[in-house]
Amino acid sequence: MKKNKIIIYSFTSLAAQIAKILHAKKYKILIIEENEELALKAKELGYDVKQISLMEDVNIIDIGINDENIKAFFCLGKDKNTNLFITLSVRNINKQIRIISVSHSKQDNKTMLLAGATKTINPYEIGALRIFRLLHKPTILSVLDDILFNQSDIEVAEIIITKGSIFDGVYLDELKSVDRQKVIILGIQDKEISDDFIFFSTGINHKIDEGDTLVVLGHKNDLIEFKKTVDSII
Amino acid sequence: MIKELILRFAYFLEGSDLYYNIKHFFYLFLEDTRSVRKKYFDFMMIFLVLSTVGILIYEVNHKPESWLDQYETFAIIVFILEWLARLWVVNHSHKIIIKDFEKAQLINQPYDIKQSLKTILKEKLAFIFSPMSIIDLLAILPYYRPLRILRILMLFRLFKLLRYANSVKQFSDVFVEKRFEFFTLTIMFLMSITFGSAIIFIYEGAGSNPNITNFFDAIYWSIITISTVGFGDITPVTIEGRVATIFLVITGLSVIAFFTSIVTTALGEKLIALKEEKVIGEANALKDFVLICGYGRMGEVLAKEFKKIKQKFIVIDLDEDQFLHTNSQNILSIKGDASDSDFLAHIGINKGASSIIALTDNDAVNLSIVLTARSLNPNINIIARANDKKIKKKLFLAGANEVVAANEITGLVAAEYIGQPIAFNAIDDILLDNEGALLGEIEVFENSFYKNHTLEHIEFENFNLTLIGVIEAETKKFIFNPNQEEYVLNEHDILIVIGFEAAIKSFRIEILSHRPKALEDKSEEV
Repeated sequence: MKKNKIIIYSFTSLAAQIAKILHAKKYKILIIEENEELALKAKELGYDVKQISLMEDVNIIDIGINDENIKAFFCLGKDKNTNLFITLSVRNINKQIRIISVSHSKQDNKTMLLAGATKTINPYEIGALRIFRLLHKPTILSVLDDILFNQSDIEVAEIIITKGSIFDGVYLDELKSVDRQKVIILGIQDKEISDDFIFFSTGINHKIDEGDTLVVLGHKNDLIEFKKTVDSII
Repeated sequence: MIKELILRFAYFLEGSDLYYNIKHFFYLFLEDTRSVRKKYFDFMMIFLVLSTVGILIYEVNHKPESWLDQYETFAIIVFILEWLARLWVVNHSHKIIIKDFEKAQLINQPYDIKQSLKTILKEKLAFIFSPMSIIDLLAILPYYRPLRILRILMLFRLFKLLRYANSVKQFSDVFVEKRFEFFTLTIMFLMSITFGSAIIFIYEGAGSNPNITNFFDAIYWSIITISTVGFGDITPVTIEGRVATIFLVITGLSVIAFFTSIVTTALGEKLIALKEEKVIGEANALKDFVLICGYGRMGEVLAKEFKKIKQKFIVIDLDEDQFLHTNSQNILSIKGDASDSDFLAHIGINKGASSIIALTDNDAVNLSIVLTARSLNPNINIIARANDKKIKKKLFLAGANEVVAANEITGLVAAEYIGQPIAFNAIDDILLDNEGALLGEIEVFENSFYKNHTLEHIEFENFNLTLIGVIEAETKKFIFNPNQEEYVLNEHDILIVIGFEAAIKSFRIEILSHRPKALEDKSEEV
């Protein structure tokens, strides 16, 4: 079954935004909020709400942190120390879960990652960089907005190479001629070399193996077609 | 007849660009405190003043030398010319004539030129009798031989320095601004002096103290005592005299304390104003700078990015702590209210600023900043931060070109990350402009070889670039992954590519060139 549950700690205005967007994408949202008023607000918006403190491990287990269907846990509290504490507690209970925590400075970023967050988001940084790009690179920003935030049918897709796929064992170089007319291959994430994303345009030739993830840009339908091609077994 | 000539001449001047340019040129030298030329001019004048005063001191016990006299003559000529130029630029006389004449025409009355001349004379006289002008004249006067005796007046030239050193002028303003306090102080001082000198004169002036023979001696003694200098050349000999001394010393201490506190607080206040004036001066000299209103966490990130690409910017914040914080980071900043139109105008929103960013954490304040900025400058690029998404519409309505709601955009980013983390990280890398690959925009210019050619002619792989799409010049629309065999490049089309910085750079050169290298290589092969 596809993972489709999202747990959000603290119903801040950022949390409300994230919940709204993910809810629209058919994720099942669970809000954890201690504050009565905010909890009520979340309920009114139609989300599942649990009004408990996550400072106790028992409660964290209680909200179903070990549920296999959980796609991600968002830690969006207002207080930095509480966020750190909860991030660490959740990571301690579930080693696999994807934790996304809010941070408000570069220094917070580091400690948050150390506490076990998979990714940190800093609204101030994201907002400021957006302003910077609006001034400095407006063209590129609008192109990226188009692609990222689905204002058009151009999308980014991740395609995992399955065993026996026609791309299994092929060199990145050889893909240059593949379907150039329809989709753009941005690059590849190697399963073994971990986190480093290899951009197609770097010129590094890389052998594609089973489990690697291709990142592709294209129109929705073309991407579906392309995925079919990749998945087809010779 | 003469009237007509004068009128004609006035209209001639009004219509002459040359006249205005010349007058403006002199104005910049003499009066515009923000012009660089004035700075150089001031330095020269300071040197002239100091050197001529130096000569005066030198000649006290040396024989006068002829070349020093010539130098003095030169300096005087410069001083006279300067004074005349100031007299000239102080107002526009011909405008007064024209204004009066047109007014007379409007109400069908005969034009009386005497009235205009009177107004002109009045304005010029007001300048001539202004304190600085009098100082200027006193500095020139001693050169006139029969008045040689007044050589000491040459020291007045030192006062001329006030004119050239802006900060000195600011300090002298302190006395004007605190005149009430100084007035009180003077009254107190005079009272004590009169009181003290009267007592000493009554009790010791009659012969009991040989050092006090007249009332002036008594005043001299009181001043020396009240100022706590106390030379000791005159000392009281009677009990009454000693009591008066005790009284004077005690009041003296309080007068000095009062005086010091007035001057220090006033100077302290002035110092802040001076510094702000300096920043505003710098701001006005800048071109194409960005105003950041509100320096919180977002402001800090933005400032860092601006520094990276050497974009000039000025921070405005009302909060004392944030203001000090920017100072410690060596950021050009001014403490002030960005929603105050006078303040924004003063900073130069109509001069060098290309964009203004309302970045405070208060939406109402941001709205007010946007409105003020838009009312002052209809063309400036305004970006506003919306803390509440609902306020976005209002900010646009107020005149913002772009509105950024940090929470909304962060929500979108987070949602994107949840869906496809790897793809997201790849895009994130591009967005953050880290050392990795970046998105580049390359415009096709008029002389480019590739103009009117299909995309096929560009070998993106050879440049290690991936073409994402083209922004069509005509429609400004983004065409994703256009068909390379069919799409013909037009002038001002923008190619969007992904690749490393160096690759993008070399590709840009290729696109700009009239005869591309890649094709040359090919033709050689053939």
